[in-house]
Order: sequence, then structure tokens, then C-alpha cells
Amino acid sequence: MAFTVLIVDDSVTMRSVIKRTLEMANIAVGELLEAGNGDEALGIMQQKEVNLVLADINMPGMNGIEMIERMCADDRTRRIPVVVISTEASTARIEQLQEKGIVGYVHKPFSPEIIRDVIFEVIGACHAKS
Amino acid sequence: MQKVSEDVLVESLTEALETTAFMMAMLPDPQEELVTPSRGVLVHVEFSGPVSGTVELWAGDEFSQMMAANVMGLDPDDDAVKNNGVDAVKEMVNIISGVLLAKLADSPADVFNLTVPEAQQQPDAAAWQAYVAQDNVIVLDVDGFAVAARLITTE
Repeated sequence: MAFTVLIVDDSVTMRSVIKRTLEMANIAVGELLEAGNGDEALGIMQQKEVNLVLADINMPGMNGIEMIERMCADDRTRRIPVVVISTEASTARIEQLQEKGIVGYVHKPFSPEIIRDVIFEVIGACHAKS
Repeated sequence: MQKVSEDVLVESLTEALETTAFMMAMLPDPQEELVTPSRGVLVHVEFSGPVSGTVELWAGDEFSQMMAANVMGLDPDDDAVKNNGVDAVKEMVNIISGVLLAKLADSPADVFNLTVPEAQQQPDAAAWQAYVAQDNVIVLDVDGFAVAARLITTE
């Protein structure tokens, strides 16, 4: 099964790094979509079927936390797994994100192996669900 | 306190550059004169929480291109690299700030709020000289490139 992955980060550079990591990890990505903030991402999710969201938190316009809250409030998006990739290091804030339903967390700076392992774990969980 | 702040900034910058861009940062060898940048960008992030302040990084254009190439895994002449040098510096300052705040926190649960990185173009070598002449600015040798940074804290 090929996954449609949506990368949400305001940095073109970081989106490029994440894309390269997915390619290097041999993850079966069918379509790779990109958004520069939460608002753009929600728009894409209304138009396309997305299987996995990889999202930053600190972004201009709608940030990652508000995007996750809006996803949770919408039947169309509430079941899409979200992995947060962020510089956030506060355990309190990471717990808050987990309570909102994120399925994985990767702390920047990260090595490609870490991001690959988290995504494999999530994809495995998705297979188990389906 | 200032010495502690400088040490934390150097450690954070070193860790972020090594992990993300595979570049080595060190204090300059006083015997060797670093080539100073003629044009560049000054990026800053403001943070608030148990400690508040600003993280700044002054990066020359050549350094920005090389770092973007390393981070993206592309050739320095690639158009994607040429167009995203400033973006790469902004993301690097974001990452440095994250590493630094984890070191400044009293507890792992401490919450900090960060602004989105902002960049100001620096047009000439005079801008570099004026910046590094300020208090508490540290200059580092990153793979032969001179890079300047500053941490300003307000309790």
C-alpha cells in the first residue's frame, strides 16, 4: 500500500530534508504533498485523501497545535495520524500534544534513522488498523 | 552569567550544525585570520518562558549556501540551494533555539514560546564589523567560514 504523506513546515529546507529521508528509508510513498502552515495543510486535507501528516509546530499563520485541534474537530481529518517534527523539548508540551492525539514525536535536530523508525512504527500501526 | 550564556550558545550552535548540516563549529584559532563575510543575513528568534530573550545568528552568503547544500544533500550550484540559503539559516536558528532552551530550562517540563525566525539582509562587510563589535557577540569558525552569534537574556 502506497501512502499519501503531507509534510507541513514553513521551511522549504526542512521539507526537502524530510522528503529525502522518506526516499532514503524506502517508505512506499504514493504521493508527497507539502504545506507551509496549518491553514494550507487543512485546505489540502479537504481536497485529497491523506494517510499521514508530518507537521512542525512553530509556523507563521496557523501553527501546528491549532492545525491538530482543527483536525480533531473534523470527522474527515480526525483519524489521520500526525507525527510532530519540532524543536519543542518541553515534556509538558509534548504530553499536551499526545493528549491531542499525535502518534509520534521527533525532536529537531534529528538523524534520518530516527525519523525513519518513527514513521515505520506509525505505518505499522496504520496497517494494524486497516 | 554571561559566560554561562556564551558557553550554552556555543554548545547549542555546535550541536545543531553538526547534527543537521554535518559542519564543525569551533572558536577561531587566533593565529589564523578568518575571511569575514562581505554580505549576509542576520536572523533572530525571540523566546519567552522561565527565561526570555533573543537568539541571533549573522551568516555570510557563502556560508548560507554551503549549509543549505549540506542540509538538503544537494550540490551547492543546485537552484534549490541557491534559492534557499536564507531559509536554511532561519531553520538553523530555529533548531539552535530549541537545543539552547532545553539547556536553559530548570526542568524538562518548562514551556517556552518561540517566535518564527525573522531575517534581515546585511548588505556589506561594514554591517558585519558593526555587528561583531557589539557586546556579547561570539565569532565562530564553521568549516572555515566566520559566523557570529549572540544570546540576549532578560530574566
